[in-house]
Amino acid sequence: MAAESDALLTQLRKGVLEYCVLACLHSGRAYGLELATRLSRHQVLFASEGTLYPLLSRLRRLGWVETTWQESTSGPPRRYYELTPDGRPALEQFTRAWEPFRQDVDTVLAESR
Amino acid sequence: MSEHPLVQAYLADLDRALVGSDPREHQDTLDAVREHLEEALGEEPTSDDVRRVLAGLGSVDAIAAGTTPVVVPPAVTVLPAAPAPGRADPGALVALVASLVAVLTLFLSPFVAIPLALVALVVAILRVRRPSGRSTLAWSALVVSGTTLVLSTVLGLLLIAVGDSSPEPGPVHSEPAAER
Repeated sequence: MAAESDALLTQLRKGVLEYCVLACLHSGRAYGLELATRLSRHQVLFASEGTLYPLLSRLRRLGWVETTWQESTSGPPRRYYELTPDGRPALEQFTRAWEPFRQDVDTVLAESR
Repeated sequence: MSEHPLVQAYLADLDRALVGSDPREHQDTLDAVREHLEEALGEEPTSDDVRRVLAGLGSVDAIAAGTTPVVVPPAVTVLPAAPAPGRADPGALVALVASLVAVLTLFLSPFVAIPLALVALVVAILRVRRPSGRSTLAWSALVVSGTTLVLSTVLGLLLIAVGDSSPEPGPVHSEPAAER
């Protein structure tokens, strides 16, 4: 049962998680641990912090996220992630599509009860 | 941090789990997780700290499952090139020539014609069975060699039968000269 639930969540997360990462970067750049800590508060979306990093790699390849190195006073240099000019419209497009999509799903589920 | 044995073991496991992932995602993910650990653990973490942070990162398999698998191109079966349209299939041509030679030797020696026709027939069948080999040449070779094989076999059997049934010449007796 738990395995089936995990498989279902895996399917639901596809196509959504990357945009959630973009949304986290919308307010400004962040380094890896910072992003991971913020996202891990939402356990249904992010079961483990490590799953953030393959997503960030794909977002970089898509050209929606870029990285810069910044020296840190408290330790080694940090890699910061931030949205690119192409990443912002991608997030906006998802945001426009998400609300009607979510409403339709909620409506269909409500009608089935 | 990087020298802690639990961290080294985790990163080694992750590296192995990422085999089969897109190479760029493999390297990016490994680098990013290493940076995450350095940031979270600092210089001299305790083993408890390390275990806590590794637990938060999650299993290496779960991380690897989020990567794009490397695409392996399908195995390509190289088929022999089909003859270009308008060009004679060389294999079918050889079969037809061999079957015609078998026809010519049929009446000279069916015992030579039989193996020749058999070889021609086999080659013709192989050429006809190929998807691109259904040419007039191949079918012609098949018909001629098949017919020649049958005829030469029949002829050969007849010759053997005739040879068996003919009386054997006996010892020659010369009539004694009549006595005078």
